[in-house]
Amino acid sequence: MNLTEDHTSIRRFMTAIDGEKPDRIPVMPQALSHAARISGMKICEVTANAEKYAKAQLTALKRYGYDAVWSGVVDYYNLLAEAFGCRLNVPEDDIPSLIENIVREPRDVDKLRVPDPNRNGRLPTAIKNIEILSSRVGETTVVMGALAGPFSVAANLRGTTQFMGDLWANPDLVHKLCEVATEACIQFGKAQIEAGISGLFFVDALAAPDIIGPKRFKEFVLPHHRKLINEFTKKVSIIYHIDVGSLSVIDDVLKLEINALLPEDTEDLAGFRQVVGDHFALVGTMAAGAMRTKSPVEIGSMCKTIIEKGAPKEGGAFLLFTAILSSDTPPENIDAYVKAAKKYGVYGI
Amino acid sequence: MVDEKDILRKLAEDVILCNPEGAREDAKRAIELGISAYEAIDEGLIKGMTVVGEKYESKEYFVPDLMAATAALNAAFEVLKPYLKVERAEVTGKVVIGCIKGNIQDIGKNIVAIMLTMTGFKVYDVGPDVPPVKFIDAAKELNADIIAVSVTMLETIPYLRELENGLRKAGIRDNVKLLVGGKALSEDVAKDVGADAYGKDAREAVEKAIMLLVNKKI
Repeated sequence: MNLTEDHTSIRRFMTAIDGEKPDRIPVMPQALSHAARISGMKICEVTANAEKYAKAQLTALKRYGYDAVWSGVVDYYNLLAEAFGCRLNVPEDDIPSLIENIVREPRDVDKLRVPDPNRNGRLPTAIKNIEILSSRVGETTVVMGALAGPFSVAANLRGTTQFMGDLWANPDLVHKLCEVATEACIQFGKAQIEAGISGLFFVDALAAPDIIGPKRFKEFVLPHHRKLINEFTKKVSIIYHIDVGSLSVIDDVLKLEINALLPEDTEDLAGFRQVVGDHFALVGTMAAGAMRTKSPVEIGSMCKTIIEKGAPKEGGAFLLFTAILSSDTPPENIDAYVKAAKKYGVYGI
Repeated sequence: MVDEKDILRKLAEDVILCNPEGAREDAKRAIELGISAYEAIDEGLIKGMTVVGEKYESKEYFVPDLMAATAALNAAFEVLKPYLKVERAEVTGKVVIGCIKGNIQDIGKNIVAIMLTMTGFKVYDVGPDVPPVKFIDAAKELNADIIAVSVTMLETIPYLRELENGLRKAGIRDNVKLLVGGKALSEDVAKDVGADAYGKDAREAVEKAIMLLVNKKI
């Protein structure tokens, strides 16, 4: 058994995504604003500056020795709504947040124009950042792209509460919003692929069947996901994130052309593994709250449990992420997570 | 002939079936029949909302259903509100109420908001999924006595700490009491995050709010 690290990060990632066994489990914490913090920069310095954000990502990569840089911007989930025209609040040292919903009246949906990834909002910043990271470390390291799903983008355009109410009161509007958001997702996803991402993390947090119910998921979400994922098939590896309770729709989700699934909760992992078999990639994750508040020893033990629940007995087909880490996550906890992944996730080849 | 019991049952059904127009009309008819606003709320709306909560727990209803049910409840409540006579003259406090960031399930918060209003509090509902800073801004702007926060998701407890710290940083912690509740919390967790009081259910939340206000004014 060879316990040294034989694979580059990119090979390790691609092998795991293909359902095979790399030298060890790839570990890819989502250090976004945290990367800025440990690089000595304020968050506002990197929110719209591709060079600085890339520098922060590379500093964090070197500091922690994990397998991926996260391209784009610190708040990738805001990008498309902002590019559509929603105003953004950018605090000096905190995460930007959307402060405006532009579809105030149902008729406003007709005014929406699909954003151009080369022109609108911070989409060009995200694309430039991918190009920088891809050219600097893309041969050996995973350059992970991220894309918020159309249901969540539509909710941002309309306002979450109003949008949830529309599901009851105005389902046609929900369909219209999701259609235009899907087109925006396709354009931005394609631009990320062209810029050089190694994998695409696709997350549609609000669309979780546990939030809207399995029936609405099938009606309002699945057709749009199918359409946009078909556009990316065979061009990039897609890691699809669905939330707790999603086993209720797992058969439908597995028919999508995706390469890996990330269930929200560690408790769900064993159930998902049983359903998908040993040669489909699953991604285990750690909650940001735990990463921020637990001790390094606890983090190591939790990481071990995640691997035990989610990885097949024979190894392979498993990756480790975290949720988006808060900027003040103790670095020693990230060290503990990466160390545990490297200790308990070694297969030997 | 529609009697009192029928109207109360219909009000509950309007909430369960998420029917704001029906709720508004039935609230008007309740008043016309001489039913007190308190009874219409207690025996109609809150009973309906309790069933909605049960359906949510059993995964028959989901968040959009909760929001539609809340819209029906609010439609009836707006009709009934002017008929609420404040019996406790000493209760004249202002409460900012909401669900902290990451919490979109707001049944409990809505019931507490209504019961606080019935008790005489001036209630400012900042809604679900509210970042700590918005609670603080609202409390400052309204000169609130109490911030009441609902937390149903365990992983969002750190935002409560952030809220408590934020109140200190803003220099208003002594003036604003922090009341917390929701299924993610317990008495111990509430103490741990620095809250002034914890309400295990809606009735206890209202009792604690009154105690906080009385103690504040002593």
